[in-house]
Amino acid sequence: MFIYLFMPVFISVLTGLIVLLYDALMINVRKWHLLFISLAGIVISILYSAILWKLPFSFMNGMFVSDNFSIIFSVLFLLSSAIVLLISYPYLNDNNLNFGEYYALILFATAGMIFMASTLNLIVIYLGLELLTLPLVILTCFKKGRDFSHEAAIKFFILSVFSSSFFLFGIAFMFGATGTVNIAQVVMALSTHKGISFPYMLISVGLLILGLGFKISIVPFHIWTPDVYHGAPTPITAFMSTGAKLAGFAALIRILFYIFPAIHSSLTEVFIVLSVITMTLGNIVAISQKNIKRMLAYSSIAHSGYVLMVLTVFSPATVAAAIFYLIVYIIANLGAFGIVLTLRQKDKEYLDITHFSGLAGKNPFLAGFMAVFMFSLAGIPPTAGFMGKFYLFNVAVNNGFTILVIVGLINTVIAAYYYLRIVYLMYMKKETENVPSTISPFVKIPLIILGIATVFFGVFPSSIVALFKTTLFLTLKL
Amino acid sequence: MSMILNYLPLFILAVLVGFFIITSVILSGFIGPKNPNTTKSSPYECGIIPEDTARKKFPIKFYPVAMLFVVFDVELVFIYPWAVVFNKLGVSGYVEMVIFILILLVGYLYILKRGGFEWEKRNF
Amino acid sequence: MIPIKLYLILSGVLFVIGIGGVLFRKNIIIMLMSIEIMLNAVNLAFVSFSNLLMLPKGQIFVLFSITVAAAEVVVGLSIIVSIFHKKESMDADDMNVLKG
Repeated sequence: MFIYLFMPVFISVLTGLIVLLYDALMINVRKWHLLFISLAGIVISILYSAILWKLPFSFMNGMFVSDNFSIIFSVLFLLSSAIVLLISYPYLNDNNLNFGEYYALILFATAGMIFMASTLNLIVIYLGLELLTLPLVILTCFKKGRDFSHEAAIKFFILSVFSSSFFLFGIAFMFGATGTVNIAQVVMALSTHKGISFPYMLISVGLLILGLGFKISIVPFHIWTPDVYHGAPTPITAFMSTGAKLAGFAALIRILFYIFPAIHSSLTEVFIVLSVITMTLGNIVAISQKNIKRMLAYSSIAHSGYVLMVLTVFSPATVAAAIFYLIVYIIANLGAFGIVLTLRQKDKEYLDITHFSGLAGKNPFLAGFMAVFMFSLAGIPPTAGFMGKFYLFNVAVNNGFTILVIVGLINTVIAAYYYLRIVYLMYMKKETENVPSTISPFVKIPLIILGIATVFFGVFPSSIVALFKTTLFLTLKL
Repeated sequence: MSMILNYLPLFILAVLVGFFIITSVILSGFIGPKNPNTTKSSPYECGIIPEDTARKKFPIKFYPVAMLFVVFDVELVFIYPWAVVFNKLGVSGYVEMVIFILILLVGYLYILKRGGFEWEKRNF
Repeated sequence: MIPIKLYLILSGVLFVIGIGGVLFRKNIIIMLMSIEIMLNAVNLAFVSFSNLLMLPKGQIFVLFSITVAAAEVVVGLSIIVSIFHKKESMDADDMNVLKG
């Protein structure tokens, strides 16, 4: 029965529906019931994914595939949404928001991400993209009564729908050029009637990259990122900058992996330029930011630039390095947003960078973990961020992109300034304003796990990278 | 050439229709009696006397209903082709459509319970 | 018989009109309508390619695209309605709290 193979995505949708109905129909709903149901769904979903490991299959002509690549990404999506669900709990409680809708929307968005990572069909990627985007738009304006949350939501909505219609137009051109929307068959179809359809193909790939570039905020298409990250509720910002971005990368890697051979080397220069401007602009603008959420938004733009560096050449090493870097990035980013979330009293949040002054004296636990996450984002040795950058630059040098690596190193130095400034403020400065911090076990436990993971991947990275190298690439080719 | 000749009756009909419309409008303008009053010049709304101008803001309550209508209306896009090939799809097609309708039903129940269909005390 | 190429050109023109509407108009409702024009241009492209290549699956993609467009419109309009509740304004230039 094929239904077993769909289980990860099926369960997350089902859990969302159950949470929604449970909240609406039951009397005496306790908030932790909803959290428990959602987390149970996610755990079952992860277990099913683990069962499917190393059992590659393709269903309905590649409309739904399950290979090691998709399973790795599915597990990452599910884990990041589990962490977001946990750290949202005290936030929702303090702001008196509706738990059922919130959790259901996050679960639906997770299902959309899993669809994006586990299909070869461009139409299904588009549907997954929309299933991811629309709940995120609703979640962005979830906290009513704030002026800028609606503004952020409408900006996010208009720009993401705009970009996804470019994506759809790209799919239409791909269909016209090759007669198929299955990316595994595109190369074969192109070789049979070459000449007429090659320009269509190039337009199509351009539009597809543009559409996904919005989602992962590559520089010409990054304008929405800081505003939306700023205006959205903080747990949703954490979700957007990790899970949603990862889903964009999953789709991008899969599309490029199959299509690059077809349009050989026409786009390598484009990617080099995009990578350079993305990381440089992201890092330079991040320096001048006063708001921590905006700073992390620009930093996340810069991190997309680093990953883009290796997406021009596909080999086991590049895919493994890119995925390892993304894992390291989402761990540190989730942690950083988790700590931003704790600097708050009831529904008032303290989001200025200066609010971190003197945190070490007041709450050494938070300051210590924030320092670990900032070191990891900056790429300083004992943490995972260093190893992520090491593998990425190593792969780039091996493929002859030495210039890119030099630009990347300069950028790392620039980035270190604004990451370390927060550490400096926490440990060296006196407190300027009385900033309260509310920390509940729902935030504390994820923070401890993320902190340990950051240090662990920093010290023992080789086993997991080797695992990616040996298992991912072979089955990606179905 | 013969293609065009085949359409000749149609052209003649079109010319005749156009002629009839234009002449009857012009003639009634000349010959017909003119005594305009307010009832006559008001827009026709199925016999009910219009209360106000049409260019006026609707109460915002109408919009959620319209949106809910759109959501539940578009499902027909899938149901109609499904019904056309129903016999060929067999049991699996039936089960899939049942799942689809169940998902919609969950949405419907949720709106019902949250008071989306209540006109007076709407809470969203 | 009108050649398929003309349909594709029409689709491209509609798409560009849609882009222009999103980029240059200030009213959010009109921006939403422009996005709908873009999606319909894509639908037209799908149908004409499907006719050109004699592959009926192009028409099936249009069904999905229509459904997604409806969902998008509903989400967009609900945000606009709730903005209107607060601000009584539809102008994109009034959305200027977030910057930096």
